[in-house]
Amino acid sequence: MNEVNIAKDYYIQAYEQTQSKLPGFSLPWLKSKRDEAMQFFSEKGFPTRHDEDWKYTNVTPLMEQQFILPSKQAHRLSAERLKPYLLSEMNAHILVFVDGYFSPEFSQCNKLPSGVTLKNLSAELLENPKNIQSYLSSALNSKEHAFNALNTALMTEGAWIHIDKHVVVENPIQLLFISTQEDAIHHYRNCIVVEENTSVNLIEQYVGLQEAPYFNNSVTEIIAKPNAQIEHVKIQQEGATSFHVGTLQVHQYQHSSVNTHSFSFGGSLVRSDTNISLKDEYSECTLNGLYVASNHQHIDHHTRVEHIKPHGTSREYYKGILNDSAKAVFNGKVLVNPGAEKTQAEQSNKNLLLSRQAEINTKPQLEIFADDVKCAHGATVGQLDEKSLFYLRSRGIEKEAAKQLLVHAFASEIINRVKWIPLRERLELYLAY
Amino acid sequence: MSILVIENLHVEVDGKKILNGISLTVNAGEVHAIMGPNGSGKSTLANVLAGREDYQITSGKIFYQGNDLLDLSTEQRAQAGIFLAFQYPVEIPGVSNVNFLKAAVNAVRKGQGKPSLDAIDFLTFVREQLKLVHMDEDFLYRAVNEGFSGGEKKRNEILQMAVLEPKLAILDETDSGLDIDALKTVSEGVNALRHPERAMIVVTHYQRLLDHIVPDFVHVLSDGKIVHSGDKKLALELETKGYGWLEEAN
Repeated sequence: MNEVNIAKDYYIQAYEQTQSKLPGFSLPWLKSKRDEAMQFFSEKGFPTRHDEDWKYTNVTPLMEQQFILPSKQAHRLSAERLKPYLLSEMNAHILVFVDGYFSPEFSQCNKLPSGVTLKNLSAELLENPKNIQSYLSSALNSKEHAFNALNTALMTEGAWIHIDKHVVVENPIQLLFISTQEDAIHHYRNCIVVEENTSVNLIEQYVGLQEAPYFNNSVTEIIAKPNAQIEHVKIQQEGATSFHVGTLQVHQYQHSSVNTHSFSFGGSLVRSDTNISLKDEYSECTLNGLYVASNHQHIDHHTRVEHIKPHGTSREYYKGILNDSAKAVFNGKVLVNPGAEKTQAEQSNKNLLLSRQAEINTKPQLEIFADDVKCAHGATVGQLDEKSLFYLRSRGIEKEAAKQLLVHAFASEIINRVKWIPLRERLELYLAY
Repeated sequence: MSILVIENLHVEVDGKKILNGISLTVNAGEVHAIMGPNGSGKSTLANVLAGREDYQITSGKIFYQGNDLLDLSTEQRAQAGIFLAFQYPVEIPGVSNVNFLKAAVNAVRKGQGKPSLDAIDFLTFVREQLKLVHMDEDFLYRAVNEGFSGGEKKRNEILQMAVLEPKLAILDETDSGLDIDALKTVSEGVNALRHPERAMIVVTHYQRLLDHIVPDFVHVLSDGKIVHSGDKKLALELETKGYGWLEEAN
């Protein structure tokens, strides 16, 4: 048997052995979702480079190792080590997860406005499963890819957020996922439902405090009801040898507005998907992204925006900075379905290569099946501008510092789209090439 | 001691000979104008002094304050007090003018073994220099040269010169693209920076700049060589007779 089949069987067995311990095991509706997802996984298996969506990303390194599903809470994380990652200066409501488990001792969510539910998924499945039943997995098609199916089958923990109608949540909500354990695999699942006429800001952050390999396979679903306004910032700072596969799945309804920002700094093999469906008229979304990779990092971003009804707007701005032998993939698809007239879509991907060995595969795609639409897309790949470098150096600025200045300038266009200045300052600090 | 001594300098760009044996000595307090027709090598000379790397020096020597200038990198030259005001200042989106100026000032100070200026000291200092070129403070918070008019770009060059306090300032076609009012403002800024311990090399195609920045010496460059040197009267003579006069005489 080859590695691919060994790995597949490993997860099928893991599911059989651990399913009785998974949260919500006694809920028939959840069990059938999990079974269905596992069935898809066992039929389909892991993607290969023959799959169009995985052409430039080889996931075999993920299969060469048997990652261990967490069975008990065992972390020894000090408050001191965690502290630098808490967005305390932004008065954030914070849920902390460590090595697959919810950490009430580190979480700070006692100042929530009324009408806001912010809980860990397993608690909600135990206490009020009815609240979550109609939403969990509603935005995600588990048949999308094997990792999403695996997440649905094996999800253990994550955030459940529900914002009541007409509630404005001023301070951001931070979901912080910390990894300290080597060889572990975690299936975090976040489910976020934002009712009509609301506004909420979310920061989903993955931090690796472990140099040895581990694997995070996460899914976040967001349902944006009419007139909902959502900011979502994902910050990926996994450990240098870790694996990260994450999917953000968004369903938007009439007049809703969703701005997503994806910052990818860490990990050795990273795949990040953002899929947005504009399911009703006059909904709009913005997808911002910045990936920064060096050494042998491989970072793959796939985005898909589906315009289903008329008068939708989508904008996408992704930038990449690649050094050493790093590789990145950008694949952005905008789909304008029949009937989605008056759609406006723009998409751009710009890349800065800082070494001869760095590589980018970029593919912006428009698929238009409606008339009367306004769509534009483009991609660029370039190096640091020699003239700018000479200009800075002629003012006494050392070559390395001048490069840093230009790299930060390139990144700032994306960073400055984040609306909170304290978060921008943090992102500037995380940006080391 | 001379600030700058150039001895028989030969320079090529992409295998093409641009400078063919330039010799020039510049002392503290002096302003030298370098004039010449397009393609005579004026801008090449300015860029070679600032350390542009794509120019090959095939022979000759340059001494700056008695030391071999060619041993120094671009940034080391700036730290040692050489300043080039660019003919075409570069736009750098995403970097604010104030951060750029602060990074430059502190890099030069570091190179000279001086302590960095903190944000407040720097701002106090730069505000004072802004007046010299009649610039508002909001100038500091725009991206470096991005969307600047021709005049604003050149004033920004003079502002940089003012904050970096060079020993040798080279002004490359500072008058190009300026209307008469902007030319006056820029020239006033330059004149205010004339100093007994500072030398300047003013590279220009036209005499009109030299009505405002009056040089001590004028050199005419043709085909990569200095074909004539004189005082400010030489510039006036060129204005009436044209460059052809000297090339023929040669």
